[in-house]
Amino acid sequence: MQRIEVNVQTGVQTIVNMTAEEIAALPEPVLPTYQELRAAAYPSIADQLDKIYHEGIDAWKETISAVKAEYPKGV
Amino acid sequence: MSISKIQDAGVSLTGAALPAGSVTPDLLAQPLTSGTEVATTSGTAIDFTGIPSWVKKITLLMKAVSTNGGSDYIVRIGDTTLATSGYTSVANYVNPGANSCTGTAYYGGFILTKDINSGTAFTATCTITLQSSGLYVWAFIGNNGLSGAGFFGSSYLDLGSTLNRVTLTTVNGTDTFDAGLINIMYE
Repeated sequence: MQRIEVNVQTGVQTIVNMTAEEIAALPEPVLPTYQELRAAAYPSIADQLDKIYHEGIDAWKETISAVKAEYPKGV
Repeated sequence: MSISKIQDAGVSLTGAALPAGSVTPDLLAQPLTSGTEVATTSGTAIDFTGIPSWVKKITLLMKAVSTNGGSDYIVRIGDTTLATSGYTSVANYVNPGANSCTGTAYYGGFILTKDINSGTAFTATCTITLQSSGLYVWAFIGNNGLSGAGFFGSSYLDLGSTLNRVTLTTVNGTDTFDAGLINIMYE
């Protein structure tokens, strides 16, 4: 991996290869929880209400259930 | 006599009348300085080094910056090395399309975004201001440029020393910049 180093006084830009120590110091990836994945996938409240109005509760449940099935608890 | 000659001679200017328009920023010993714009199209971090010790305020300007991943942007400061902890950092996220406002806290750097997506063009202006010896206060405002969602926040870091470097990177440190421009201004 590389980073771009810019000296603000000289304007010189240098591509620096990261050292093994710098790479080792990078944080462990934090994976999203199933709640975060579901929250991002659900339609907005306005869209959900619109779906209920136009298509009924069963159609709304189908939409929500599909998201829950895609991101089951424990993921 | 030009301004530079007066400075060289060490002459006191007390009581002297300077001609209007003669004092331009580049004649000052500690001028407002705009850096060289850098394309954020490669690398996992952009490091600005060599910041003079007299600097009291730094402005970072980001235009349509994006990466190849979804890790949020952070800014770190340091002297010989970058500080990677001790930041009291919050990014607030306003999404007008969903009538929502949320936020995220981060302690490993000044955080700029929350749940940024790959390829999202992020534009922001950020300031780092010296409040007292070694204590820097941070504030920023930005926008992802697509849905109109905005980000803002403020925080601080007691660095305990005088900074000479500022870095833009991501939380995971591995996402690679793939578009945009960044520049630094200091005074």
